[in-house]
Amino acid sequence: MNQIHKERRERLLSAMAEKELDVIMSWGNSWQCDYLRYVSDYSALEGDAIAIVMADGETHLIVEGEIEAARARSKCPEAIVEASDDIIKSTKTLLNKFGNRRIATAPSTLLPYGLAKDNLEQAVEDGTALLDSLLMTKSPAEIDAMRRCTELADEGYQVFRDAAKVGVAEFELVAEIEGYFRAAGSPENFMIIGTGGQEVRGMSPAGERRVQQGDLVTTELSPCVDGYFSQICRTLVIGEPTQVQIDSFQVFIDAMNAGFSVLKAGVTAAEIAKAENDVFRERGLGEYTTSEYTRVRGHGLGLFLDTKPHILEDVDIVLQEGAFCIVHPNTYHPVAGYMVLGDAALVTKDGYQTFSSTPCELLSTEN
Amino acid sequence: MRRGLISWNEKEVPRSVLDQRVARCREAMALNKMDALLVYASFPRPAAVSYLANFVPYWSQLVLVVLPNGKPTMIVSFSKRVTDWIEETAHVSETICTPNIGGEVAKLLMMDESIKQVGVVELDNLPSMIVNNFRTENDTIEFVDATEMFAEFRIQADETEIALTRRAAEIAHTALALAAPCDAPVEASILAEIETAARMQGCEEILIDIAEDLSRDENFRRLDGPSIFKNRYAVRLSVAYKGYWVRVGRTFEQANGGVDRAAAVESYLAISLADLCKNPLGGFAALDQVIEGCVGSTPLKTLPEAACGQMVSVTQRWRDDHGCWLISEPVLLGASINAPAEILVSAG
Repeated sequence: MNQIHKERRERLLSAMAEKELDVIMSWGNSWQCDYLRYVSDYSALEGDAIAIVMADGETHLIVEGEIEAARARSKCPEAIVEASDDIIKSTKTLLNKFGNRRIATAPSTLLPYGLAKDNLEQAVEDGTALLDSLLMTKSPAEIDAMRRCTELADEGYQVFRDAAKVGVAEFELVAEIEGYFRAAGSPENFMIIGTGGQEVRGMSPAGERRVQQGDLVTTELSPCVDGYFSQICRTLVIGEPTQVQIDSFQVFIDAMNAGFSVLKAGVTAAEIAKAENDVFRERGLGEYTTSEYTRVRGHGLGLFLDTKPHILEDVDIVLQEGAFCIVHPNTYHPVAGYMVLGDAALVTKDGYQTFSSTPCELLSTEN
Repeated sequence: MRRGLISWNEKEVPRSVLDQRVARCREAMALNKMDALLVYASFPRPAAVSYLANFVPYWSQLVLVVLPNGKPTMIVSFSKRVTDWIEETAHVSETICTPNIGGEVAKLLMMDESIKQVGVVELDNLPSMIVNNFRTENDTIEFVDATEMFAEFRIQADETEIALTRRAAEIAHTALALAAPCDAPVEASILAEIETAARMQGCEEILIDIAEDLSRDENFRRLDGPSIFKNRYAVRLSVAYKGYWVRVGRTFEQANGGVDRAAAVESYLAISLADLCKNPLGGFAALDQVIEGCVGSTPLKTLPEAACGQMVSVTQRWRDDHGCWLISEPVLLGASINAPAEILVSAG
């Protein structure tokens, strides 16, 4: 068992003992794997997976099919891995073998209906809050992984910047970055992209459009180190930025700085979001902070790249010392188009610490 | 979550093909007395929705609602800023963005009072919150599992599926050729070149598994760090193109003679796969075999048996005096039990 998982396992078993839990069952897949990975150190590559961890640390992994099972056995040799064509049925069979135990499950929102408490013979309780508390506050080893990942995101962005040339198709640009991250040992990366001008309202997966002179090229890169995701968001102009683009981008710089100015242990996600959004509101751009134009004003980072808390004005989760999040006031600007700017940061007692060295400015292929 | 190109080219996937699939879906619904059908999709489970509506989610989750008339409606937990992109890539009548998928599905179905029984593809796998939110709005509409019904009308590959799967196989074979032995020892850094090569050809996704030393371990695994491949090694690529997935894998030998042996392996593979329908274990005695295909939301799911006319990927393990051979190849099974299967792309 690697050191980082050993630390997680100790924290998990300790929390289970404190709550007098006999079993924790968690679900995950290649989209959202944080609960699964925290308890088992396994991230499914294909299909859904269930981890069942006993109070003594015995770990069962139920995955879809023999091909995924071979991956799981290789990654988690200490776990008891079952290849299943029906993971719901296999999980129920295993739980029935355990008899009358105290079982918690997570995450409550995504757990398959077939494993919901009304569909199980055993009484189960919701373990989501317990795991959320472990996921949101990082240990020193986890913080080190996040730091290394942030540095990798920086390096990846430099590759992106070098590859973003007139004529290159969006999917070819993504291919360059994915190849770079693969070579650097990053097993995962979440990346969306936008290219064009004022007509672009968001980022999406890569299409076939080719980059043109004067385009705004937006991206968020989210590589992964030891299972931990970090993220960088930047906007790149192909050629010299226009004054309109420079002026438009200033609100994003100011909003990100405003978000960071309140970030410290003890603040709520809502306070950070409000600080960012107030900058837009003061400039008559408040409409563009709503769900019509943007999703979140940042979010937690860790074993999932979009973990709690979402930085929104109606989220009252308190950030603790050791939390890791990105502050990104990304949205549509009515004059220039969709723009992004964001950095990941470690929340400290008195403030925050960032590990990114990419300048927080409107970048250009000319500078 | 490493998605590459996701787009809709109507020359590759004509609207008429999607309409025909939805029409066949409706015929199956009518036979099974379903007033509507709910089809879930998420990042790892995109295939049932992409089959009907061409949409592949790069993130989050959604439910496609198929009613007896009209184009399907998609209820997604994406933010509204990506609505334009969704509508560019999906063949639906309407896209509703909401964090409450279950509640919106219920409201949509309740607009037609005749809807009493609703089929759900892979009902047990639907996230609890979607079911709970649906039930908050409506507790009278009955859910029935539609997994088998969906599989039955989905299973036969149509020309569009064959063409896109063939393209995925071509991309995979081209990229896999980079893993072949050369003068210097092959290192894990080749995996980055393979990934880039596949993505440059427009693949949507590529997963790479390796067995870097078959004399020690005959199982594929993910490799994230550095490694030098030994004398006999295997590389398997799982490649998606426009929603259609294949697995292509080969075993390579560094030593002289590997090339000749590789030719023999291709011959064995052709024999082994030719009458897969009639002889599920293959004409050649594979030690073990996994047959995967798409019958629901999972792009490649292990199948208990292959069906005539189905597109499958076959992974086999053989052994001879050289050692173990790990092979994966996509195959279009013959239209009848006596019809030969077709290997989509010839290696080399």
